[in-house]
Amino acid sequence: MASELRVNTLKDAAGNNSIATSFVAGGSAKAWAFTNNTGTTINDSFNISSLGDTDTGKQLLSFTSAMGNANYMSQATANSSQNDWGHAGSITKSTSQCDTTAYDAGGSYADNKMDSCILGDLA
Amino acid sequence: MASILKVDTLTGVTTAGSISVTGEGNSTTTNLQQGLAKCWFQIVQDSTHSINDSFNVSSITDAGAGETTVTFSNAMANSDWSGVLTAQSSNNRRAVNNSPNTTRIKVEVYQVSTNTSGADATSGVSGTVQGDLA
Repeated sequence: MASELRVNTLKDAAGNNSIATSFVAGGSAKAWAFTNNTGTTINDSFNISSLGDTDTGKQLLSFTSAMGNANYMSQATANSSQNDWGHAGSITKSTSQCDTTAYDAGGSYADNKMDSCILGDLA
Repeated sequence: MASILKVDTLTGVTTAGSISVTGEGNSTTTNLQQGLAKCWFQIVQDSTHSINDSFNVSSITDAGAGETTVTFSNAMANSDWSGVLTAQSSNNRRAVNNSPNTTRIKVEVYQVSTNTSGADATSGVSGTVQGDLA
């Protein structure tokens, strides 16, 4: 049977390590993904409904549950064995989608496996 | 009225590893277990490679110039987790997550202008791991 618990603060059984439930909701990642280099496969993810390959080095993540605004924190890192790099939210950053962009060492767009993470407010 | 729950372990009723938390907008729920970082760290790639602070890290190893192996205390369930890294440097460094597996994240830092040579981020590297615990 489903159950719902309404509480302001969580503590361990000894009464230590107190944390407000607002920190539990606010501090949890609202989406994350590990995608393949061509932007066609989501290896694993949370709150990601689909992945788009928009151009060389450019991928587009769509959220299952929308964010409350576009002011969320977005980060991406190249999952690579060489000097590739990337970032998130530079081209598309909306309540429903966020892009990732990857580059090679010389700064040219390059397909790459990407690790990404979103923190912020859900709608 | 303020309320406090004292408990050591939270477990889902329908699925043990799945608990819903109401989001900030009060209209959507998010999954507690999936949203929690399974590991985070702030390390320094100095002469000894040291941990300033961390969660779910048992040890780190200097694996070469710009390379640090960060070993998890509790392993991940698979290698498909997301590891986001930032090199804290004033000297054009960037970090990648190389060949993830269930037991560790291998941090590799490069200097922007160099194609192949690793370079220590002496001011530090920050990282988080999102995914499924074993």
